Amino acid sequence: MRKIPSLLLVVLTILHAALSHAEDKDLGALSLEELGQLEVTTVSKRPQPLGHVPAAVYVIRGEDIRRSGATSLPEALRLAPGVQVSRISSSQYSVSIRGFASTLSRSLLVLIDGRSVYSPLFAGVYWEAQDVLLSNIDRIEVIRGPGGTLWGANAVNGIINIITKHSSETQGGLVELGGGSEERFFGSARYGASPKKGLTYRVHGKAFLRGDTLRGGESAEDAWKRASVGFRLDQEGSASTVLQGDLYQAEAPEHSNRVLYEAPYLESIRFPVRLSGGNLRLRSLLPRPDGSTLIVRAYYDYAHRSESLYEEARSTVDLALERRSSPLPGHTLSLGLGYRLSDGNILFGHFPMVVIDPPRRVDHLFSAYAEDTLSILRGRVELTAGTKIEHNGYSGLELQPSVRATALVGEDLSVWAAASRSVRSPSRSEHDSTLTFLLDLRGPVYLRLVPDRLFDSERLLALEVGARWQRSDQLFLDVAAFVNHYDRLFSLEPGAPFTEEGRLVVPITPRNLLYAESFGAEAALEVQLLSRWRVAGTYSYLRFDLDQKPESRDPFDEWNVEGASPRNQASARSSLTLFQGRLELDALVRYVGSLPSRGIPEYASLDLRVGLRLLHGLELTVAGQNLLSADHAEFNKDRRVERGLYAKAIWSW
Amino acid sequence: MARCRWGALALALALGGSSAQGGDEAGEYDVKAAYLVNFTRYVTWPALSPGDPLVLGILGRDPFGGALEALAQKSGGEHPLHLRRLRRVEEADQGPLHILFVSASEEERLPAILRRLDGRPVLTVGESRFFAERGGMIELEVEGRRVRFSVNLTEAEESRLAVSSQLLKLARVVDHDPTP
Repeated sequence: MRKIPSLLLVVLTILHAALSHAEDKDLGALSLEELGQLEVTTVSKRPQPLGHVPAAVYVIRGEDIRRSGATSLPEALRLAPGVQVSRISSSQYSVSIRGFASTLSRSLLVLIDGRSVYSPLFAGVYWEAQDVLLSNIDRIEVIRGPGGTLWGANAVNGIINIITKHSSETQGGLVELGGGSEERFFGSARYGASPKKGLTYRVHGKAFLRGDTLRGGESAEDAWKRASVGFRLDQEGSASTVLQGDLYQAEAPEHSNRVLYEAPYLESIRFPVRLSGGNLRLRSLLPRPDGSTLIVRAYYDYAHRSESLYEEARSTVDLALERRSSPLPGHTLSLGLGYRLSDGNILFGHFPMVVIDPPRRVDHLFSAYAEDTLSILRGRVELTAGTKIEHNGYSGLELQPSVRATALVGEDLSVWAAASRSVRSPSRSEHDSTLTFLLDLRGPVYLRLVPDRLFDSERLLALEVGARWQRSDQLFLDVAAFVNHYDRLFSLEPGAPFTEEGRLVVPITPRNLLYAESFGAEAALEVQLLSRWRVAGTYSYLRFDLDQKPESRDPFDEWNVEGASPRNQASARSSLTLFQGRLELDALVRYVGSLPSRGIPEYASLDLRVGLRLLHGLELTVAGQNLLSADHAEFNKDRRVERGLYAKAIWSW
Repeated sequence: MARCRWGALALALALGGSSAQGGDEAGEYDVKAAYLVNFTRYVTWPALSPGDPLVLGILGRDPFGGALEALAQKSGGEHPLHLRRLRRVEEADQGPLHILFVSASEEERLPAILRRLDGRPVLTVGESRFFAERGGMIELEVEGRRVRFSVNLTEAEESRLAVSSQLLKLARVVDHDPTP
């Protein structure tokens, strides 16, 4: 009994000392030299100035990622409101915004430094192939809602833009080593220098091994391994130029059921999925003498994926030109032209499950966009109108217009509204691939998805509104609400069964006979309670209603899509920085509602992190993830993620 | 038991003590505000007599949270400091202006802003990256955990502002490449 009061006294003394605000420092009396020597504790990289952005944008700062203890890109995305991140295995994640959660985020455009990582074969993002050195990330911009006007097709429900730091911000050396129960091993090294004024570069390498998750109560043997190297070169002068590139190799084993035409008709295997690739990107920002800015961008991406059902090698070349100018007073005009070549070669398709014909196809995508922003009422109101026109090899010409408005109310509050049209163009799979599944072992009866070149784009008409309130660096509140109307959604239409070489086959054709309405809202709040204590919270609400057109006989999708996203999601974060930044205490609590069609109950999770800054640029971190339960499922009933603990040491010089 | 308790208390006081004594730490914007006020002592404006007010403008979103007002009131020196808030750079014509702090919220409009003020005796201070290289006069940057500044001397001199060598000694002096 006696122990408790004295322990309490100790804790209270520490807290009081740590939290007492030494605000009354008269900085005005300091000389320039003294000001230069002061160490700032609240190096709050303020949120990107969002005042004038007429869209539901949330910026995850690099500092937020560091404080959260996240060890992968999808985990870092959990910090934004309205993003559904569901872990499937050691390497696989389902990431979606405002619905359509599936193994492949088909309505989400994901970019890493402007380079699209969306795979056009099956329309989605393979998160197991993506990774970025987290300490290289400057910020992740999460845009909820259609971004078709600026970003093109497939940015139907949102855009995730991962932006790495300018190499001038990653100078010197950094070595990181860590390990734990789930994050088995990870290590990275980075070095940056400036060979001459205006020229900076960095090189880095990273490798990690992530532990297995559970499958049916036992180890899934799906440990994710990845190694990568990369570089970035920046030149600042009259023009601002970046050259960057990466090379990677990864292994992400998965379990799959493969269909056969002879007994036993179905084989369950564990396949060591292999991923490798590389990319090179160049971007130059050129201010012109007439006050306009010209942006030139080019990148090359190679991705090789070898999995149980197919093996594909894909090369992408993307060229883009953009011009921003002010042709008339009050107007800001953006014009852009783009061309993308995507060459996909199927080296292997598991017969009979996956037959892609033709095996090699080169797609050409041409795009142009124009957007004008008019500033009126002394800059208090901005009106934006724009459209993107694309031509692709599947659905021809696509138009994605958008109108937006933003208004400043008072000094700290801005409101915005937007109406947009966005499309998801057909992927190769809907036009070229024949997929055969087993419907019933008795028989056996097969289900065959037959390609249909008439499969058209999915459409979205979205209405959004939002408000942003920011009072200096102390308080930030951002709310957004939307109503979405989807049309021509992907549906699977069964046809008349037929017999083929003694087998009974039920054909299904992809058609566009589903439609949906959804509405919801998202909110984010950040408060700097004390100079050392920052708290943040997010909340999102989603209602999704999928329906069939009368002529549709699709028996699959209605329940699956609707019930695959949670109705409510919320999170709360606390960051305490004590003893002049030498001790960091962070906590992240998340709540995710149930996924009825997937049989996943609601869950809450807790991540804790302690960071200790020692002498000579050495930092130690200990973090616990998913602490509230020994294991829980996030997307598939029998695939569970375990509680984990890891420690890491960072040395920088 | 008693030894353990006193030891823990001593440790607590030792760890917490340094910050309770108001050790050397402050907020980023408190320091930037102090720099702004300090700069007024090291720059000479043409046609400014002792006793004339020195007007400090903030263009865009104010990140200082009151720190600048507090310091401006307390500051002594030859000129009383007045603060002005501007939403657009065109408002610079609407009254006297000697220093203009360009907030990060105006980053996209930077070229137009600097062009508008070109040649005018207004000390432009900013925090956007490469503010000085792009034609601003003083750039406040956070290096590690300290706030430093760079000075584009050519730009200041072309605007008829005299910058004291004492300021230049502590600054990183940069030049900007003229646009082609």
